[in-house]
Amino acid sequence: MKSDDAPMWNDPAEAQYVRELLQAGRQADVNYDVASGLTQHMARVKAGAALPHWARGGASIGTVVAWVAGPIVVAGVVAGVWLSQRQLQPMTSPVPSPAVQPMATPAPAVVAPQPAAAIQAAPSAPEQEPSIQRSNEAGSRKSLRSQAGAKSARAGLGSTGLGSTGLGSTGLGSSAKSHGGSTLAAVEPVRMASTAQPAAPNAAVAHAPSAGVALHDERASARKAIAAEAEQPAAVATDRQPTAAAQRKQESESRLEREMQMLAVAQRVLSSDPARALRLTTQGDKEFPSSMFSAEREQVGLLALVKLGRLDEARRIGQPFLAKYPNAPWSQRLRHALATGRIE
Amino acid sequence: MSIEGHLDSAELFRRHASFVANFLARMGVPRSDLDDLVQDVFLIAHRNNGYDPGPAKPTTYLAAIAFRAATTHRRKGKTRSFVKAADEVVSQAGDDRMSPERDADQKRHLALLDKALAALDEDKRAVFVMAELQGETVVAIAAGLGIPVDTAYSRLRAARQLFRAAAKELYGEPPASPAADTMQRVGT
Repeated sequence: MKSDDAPMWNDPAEAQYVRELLQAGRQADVNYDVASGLTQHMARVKAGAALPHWARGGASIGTVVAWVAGPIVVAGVVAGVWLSQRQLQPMTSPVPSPAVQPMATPAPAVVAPQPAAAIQAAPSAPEQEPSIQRSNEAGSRKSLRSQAGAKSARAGLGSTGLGSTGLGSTGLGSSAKSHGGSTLAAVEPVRMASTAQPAAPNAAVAHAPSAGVALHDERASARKAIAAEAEQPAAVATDRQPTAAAQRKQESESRLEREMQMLAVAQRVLSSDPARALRLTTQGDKEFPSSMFSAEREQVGLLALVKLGRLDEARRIGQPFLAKYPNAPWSQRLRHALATGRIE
Repeated sequence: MSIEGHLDSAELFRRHASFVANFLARMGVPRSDLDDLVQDVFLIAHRNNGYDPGPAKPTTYLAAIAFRAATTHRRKGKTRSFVKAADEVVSQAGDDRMSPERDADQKRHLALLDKALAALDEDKRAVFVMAELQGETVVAIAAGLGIPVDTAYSRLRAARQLFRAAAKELYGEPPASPAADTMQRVGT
């Protein structure tokens, strides 16, 4: 039996047409424009673009909870009112006594106090209960979240990592965690820590009256939690202080963005205005020598030379360049251009 | 100081954007939506602080995000249909370096490939595409998707069976000239 690791496309036991399909798939290339895409990506990063809706867990999960919990709460309230009325019914139902005058039979006057209390409670219930329940739910959710947050903060992981941002269903959450906390919620721990840690004293206070020793322990843990909370903002403040490293990073990103934009424009105008493309690549070489886009810029410049009819010059520079980069994504196109003098 | 092996999102983009775009295309995302989804994938990678070395390779790590992007995109109904998507992708997938005949063959094969892939559910399709078309190991795929290795093998085995059956359905009995037969069956 063939190994699971052996690819089908290379397996002689597979039907010829299956192998052909897979070969076609392996060779297919959508010719994605990386330089242009990277320019867009950097611009989006710089602009702080919002994550796609499916990667934003919090709001959508909250919405789902609200949609699910809402009807349940309403159903619960209605059922409660119905049950209370049902229980009251025997009391409110008139006990007809032949001896009693019709005027006396309407028990409402007699039993009014009881139903009134119940009825008074009933209308108020729909007004108060949902809010109370919601606040209780919110409280319990908050405390659960706090506990989870505290745990995950201790573990160095965000509980609202990819797992809870909609990626978790694919198991990506766990995979992302396996990257040592490089989860989507890498931005979350600070927020979670700040919400989680105040909960610790509350929890401690809630349990405090149980016993003297426990009270002592709880207070000690509460003090620790408060101390930790006090430390947290300091850490955040330290993180937010503009440092020389951050400034350097920002400058580096701006330079990278400019370089990519120049390259993207050069590629775009290669056919329509090769002279401009050549100018842009020459300028790029001066501004950004030995950058990560040097080779790609060089090939655009060489194509511009070909397009301008300066084929000898392009070949003189291009041959050693191609020897250096024989298998780059653009090598074949450049090789063809140098050979034929035409750009495809 | 950067961690050894760490890749920020710009470097990930530069190295693997083509991989992600091709993966999304094979997952049935039409060409017109590819750019947006590629951007989404790398924006999430950026928010994840890029890639840190781990059990998953950078490619399978990105593919896992792309997988989620593709499935959500499809469920949202943005994908008009897998067949249309395939046609659109195929129409853009020609290679100028090929002869016209070979180019036409390639496009026909791609159309059939995407139809056969459409027979797989999303989970199996993702594993199959990564393993069979993009040459990833099952262990790396499992790590990327965050699933047990046994599960990944199991999905791959099931996907292979389904793919064989779908290909056979498309081709019928293995023809002497698959391309010619394909033309007749697909009606392209």
